[in-house]
Amino acid sequence: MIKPPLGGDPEAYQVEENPDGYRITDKDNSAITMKRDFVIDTVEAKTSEFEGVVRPKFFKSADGELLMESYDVAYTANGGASQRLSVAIQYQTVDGLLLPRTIKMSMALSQGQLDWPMTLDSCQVKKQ
Amino acid sequence: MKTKRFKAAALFLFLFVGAIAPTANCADKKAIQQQTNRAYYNLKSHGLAEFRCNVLFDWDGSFSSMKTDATWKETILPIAKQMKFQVSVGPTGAASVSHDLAKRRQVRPSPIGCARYPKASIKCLAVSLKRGPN
Repeated sequence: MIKPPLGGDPEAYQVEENPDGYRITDKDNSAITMKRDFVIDTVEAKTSEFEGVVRPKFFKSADGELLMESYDVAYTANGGASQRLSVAIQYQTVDGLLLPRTIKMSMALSQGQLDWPMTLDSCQVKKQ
Repeated sequence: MKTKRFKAAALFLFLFVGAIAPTANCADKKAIQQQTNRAYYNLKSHGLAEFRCNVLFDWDGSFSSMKTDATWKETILPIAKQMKFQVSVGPTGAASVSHDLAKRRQVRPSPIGCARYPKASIKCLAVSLKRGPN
């Protein structure tokens, strides 16, 4: 992640506490649900043309920080049929930083199953 | 009497509903925001300004379980395989992808499709991917 998951002014969203954790909503009809340990369960987005739910999965780095290892997306666009997409991410260490190494996208299309891995190679990092 | 009971019931409901679905106040929200952001690995807080990588695709493996036609196999895939992609991610997290047709001269001239117009190949590839290989 480059940006923190909850950026900006906290005044811009509502935080609702429930027995499982928190539900955070903003004025753009997007919502994040997360457990009490702050692990995000779902991210929902809804506009007049698009509706989607992302279900991410995380693992902990050696330092105990959460990194996304995969996510499933279910979405409909322009009132069309529901589509599903899965993405799995593996990491590499470059100059002490954890960057994605392979990103594999899987999707069921009418022509068959698409499994499309991409590899990030020869990465160059510029530090602050 | 009835009014008193109603008021008591309304107060009870208000307090009960408030207890089971509390909304965090500003200070709580800030604390939740900070704790959440601390829980996640953040490249920027680890000192990243930007990074750049080559992007490699497994073109053959990716489409092996899909129905493809001759145009896809003979025209689009050879061009796609020759293209070199690079991704750059800047300090705001915005990613930009650039491409270059590495061996432009070696693209076999073909009377059909995008191979005829190598300069337009990325556009053709994008259209083709959107349409799917049929």
